[in-house]
Amino acid sequence: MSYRILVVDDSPVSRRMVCRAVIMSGLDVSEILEASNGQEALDLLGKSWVDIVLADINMPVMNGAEMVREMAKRDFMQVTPVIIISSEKSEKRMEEMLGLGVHTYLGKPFRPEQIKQVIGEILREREEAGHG
Amino acid sequence: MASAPNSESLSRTLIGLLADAAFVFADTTTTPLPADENPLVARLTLAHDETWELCVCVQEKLGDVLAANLLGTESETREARAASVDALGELANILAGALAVELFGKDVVSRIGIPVVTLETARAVGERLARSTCWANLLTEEGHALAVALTAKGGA
Repeated sequence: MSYRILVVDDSPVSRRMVCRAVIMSGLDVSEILEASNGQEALDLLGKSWVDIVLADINMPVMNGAEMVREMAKRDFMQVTPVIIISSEKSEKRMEEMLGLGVHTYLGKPFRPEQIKQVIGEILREREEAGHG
Repeated sequence: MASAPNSESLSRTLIGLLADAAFVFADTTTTPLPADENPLVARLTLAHDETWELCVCVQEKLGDVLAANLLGTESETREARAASVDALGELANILAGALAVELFGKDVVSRIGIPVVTLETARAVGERLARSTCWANLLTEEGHALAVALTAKGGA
């Protein structure tokens, strides 16, 4: 089974780094979609199925926290796992995002192995839940 | 505020970040940015109960190196040169995240602005550093100069 991934970050360099890490993770990726803010991401999520979202918080137009809140309001987006990759390192921010239903919170700079590990966890959880 | 910033803590945080995020190894220096070059300057605000402006100034060539290292390509490529502004903005963003914890503590949600990156004259950068609350000059092992500064902007 191949997966569709959405990378959300206003920095093209950062998106490239995340895309590279996803490819290096060994995940069978059919397509990596990119969005430069939360609103663009919601537009893409409304049009096509995405298996995992990797998103920054600090973005113009709509930030990552607002995007996650909006996803939670839509039935078909609620189940999509979100990995936050942010420069914000406050414990309170991490708790807030995890409380919103984010699967994992990674701080920048991240290591590609961290992305691989989290994606592995998500896939294992999906298999256990019978969605593999 | 968790701790008052100073030149030593500012440079230590940037030195660690440059190595971890961009594989660039640097140390503090008394040598300023070259007066005959216009450096790339990234600025963004950090705010909680106080507002600070973070400023990271680098020689243009170092912007190319940062982009190349983040993208995993060579610094002489068109791709790296095209991404140098964005790479410096991303570095400043990551540095702001680390500094926000040092300035405001781990238990608060601070507001980190969107980085603005411009090419400024060496003179303007010198004046900007002179007005800052604390600043430091660094030199990479490849001989590229950079400077980092924090400026108090008052209550948020």
